[in-house]
Amino acid sequence: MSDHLMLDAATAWLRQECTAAVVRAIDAGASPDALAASFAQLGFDDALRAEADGGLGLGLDEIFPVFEAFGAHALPLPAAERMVARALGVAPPDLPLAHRALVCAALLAGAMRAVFDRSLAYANDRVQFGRPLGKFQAIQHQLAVMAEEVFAARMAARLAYVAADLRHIDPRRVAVAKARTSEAAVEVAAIAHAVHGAIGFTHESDLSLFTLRLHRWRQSAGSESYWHAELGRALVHDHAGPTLDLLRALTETLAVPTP
Amino acid sequence: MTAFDTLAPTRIPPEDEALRGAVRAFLREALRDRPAHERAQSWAGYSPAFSRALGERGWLGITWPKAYGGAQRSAFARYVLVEEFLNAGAPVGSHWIADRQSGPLILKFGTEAQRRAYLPPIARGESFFCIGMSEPNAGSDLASVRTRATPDGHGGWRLNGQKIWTTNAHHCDHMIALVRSSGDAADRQKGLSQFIVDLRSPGVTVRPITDMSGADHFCEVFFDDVPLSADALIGNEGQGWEQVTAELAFERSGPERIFSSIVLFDNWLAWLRTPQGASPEAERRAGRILSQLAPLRALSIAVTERLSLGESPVVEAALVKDLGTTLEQRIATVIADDLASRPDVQPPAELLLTLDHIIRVAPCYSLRGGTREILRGMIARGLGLR
Repeated sequence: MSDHLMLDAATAWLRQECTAAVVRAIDAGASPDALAASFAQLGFDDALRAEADGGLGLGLDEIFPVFEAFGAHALPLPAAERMVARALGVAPPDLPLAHRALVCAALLAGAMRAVFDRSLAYANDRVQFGRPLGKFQAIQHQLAVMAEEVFAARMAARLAYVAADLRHIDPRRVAVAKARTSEAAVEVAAIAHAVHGAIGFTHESDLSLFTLRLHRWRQSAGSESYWHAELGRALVHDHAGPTLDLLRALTETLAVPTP
Repeated sequence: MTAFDTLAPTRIPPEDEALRGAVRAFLREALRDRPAHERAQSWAGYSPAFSRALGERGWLGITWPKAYGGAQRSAFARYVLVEEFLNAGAPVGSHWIADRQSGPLILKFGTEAQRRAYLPPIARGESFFCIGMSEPNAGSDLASVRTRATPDGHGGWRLNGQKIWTTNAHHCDHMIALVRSSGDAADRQKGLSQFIVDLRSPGVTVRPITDMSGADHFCEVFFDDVPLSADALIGNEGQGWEQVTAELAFERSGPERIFSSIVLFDNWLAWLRTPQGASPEAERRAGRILSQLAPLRALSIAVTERLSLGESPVVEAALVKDLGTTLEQRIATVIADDLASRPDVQPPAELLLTLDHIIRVAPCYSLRGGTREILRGMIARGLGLR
């Protein structure tokens, strides 16, 4: 199965099975077993294992949009962690912190995109003072800031997935990914609730299925402050010379030599 | 929104990356005695001699065809050069505008004669340009410009009016001015054209304006019946607005929207690496800045690729500029807070001087090239809200 087909299959399954009603019920304490059983039938569990070991042999770069889709649908199963753990040959609770942070960053990127899309749609639909909310400059600027945060955070997450394999992830790239997505998550959740007004605060609205996940995933596998400290150590102690050279190592799609 | 989906991590091609070593070696030598607070002037640092030295090495107009003095290299080659210039704190201000946007504009819209006349001297670092956009009553509202070019009846034009906030006009040979060539202010974007104005022409008066850093980088420029020949018009009459819009995408997403405070940042890091300056809390603050710089650099490179393909990613460029300039400003306030959070530790004088300089120039980061509010309006339009 190619990465493209896998993303299509994942998206189709998420739309069909991982509906807001299902997520809400599981969040409220219902058993996730039926959803987990349905997910298992997709055969994704070994997507990241090498083909020689009976897996699909997908690379991290290829799995990124799938993990992102899990986040965008608020998937209430630890499916991504499970895929990574199986590829590493460890039990999910034994996943190293960096690998958990790597997964979280993609989930956050996806959930932020979903929250952004919902906020944009709501701003276009909701009419006050005779105009859609999105026509008010104060709302437009908040949505612009939200777009910037989602945009930058998604790139930060992707950088940890490009040109990397699960057994050799760059902890500094993971730090950028988890720190930037976590920092953005707080801002994105706050603006989404501001744009949605009281309705977004109700149990009936789906918004909190996502914004509560933004907060939860921000607090999982190290918040931004944890990773800022890690990055700061890498920059101040383990690096000498221009910041640019560390930036190059963090952002380019292949390793580059220092001139 | 398309911007999320179209910008992927992009690799600078190895042949362009290969320029870095030579540029860095040259800069190390050339800037050996330049202190941090002067290097922190970044692209406002003015040195015609330095520009000529870059021209001699083929590092100006590097993307232009060889016939016009260029090296026919990719947009990534220029990216590598500019990134090195800014990170080293090279005084690139004299040729900055000509290399970044006047030259590309002439290449794209100019006649063959205009290209041959203007581009080679720019590439040699001998001819400097400024941008005539803002006017006293046309700041963010650029379409309300009133400076007017009137046909002189012999195929040429007469120019009357005033430009303001024109960076380096007092040091430049030419201005590319956006002016009204037909209709009136009510026509807005219609009836605007761009002209190449020789600033030594009779009727041109340039008056520098001192800014809050004490420097006189920007100017007022007055036009009193300035004669323009027919070939002063660049591009098509009446197409000035479209030409300016394309030009601004190049202006908004480059390394200069990320690295304006990088000399200060590196200078601060050097202090944090000493026993007296070391502080875990400061390291955490530095780590936060790095976590914001990294995705911005990747986004800026991704936008560069889109521009090099001839696209005009206006919204993406606006996103990069707003995020980038906000971070450039935050770097100064974070460092100030760190240093002052340890009042019993005396930081190096040069670090304090450099910080003081950045605090004085940082307000302009989110004004020049489109204010924060204008950019957010453009992003909102890109989102379909306007």
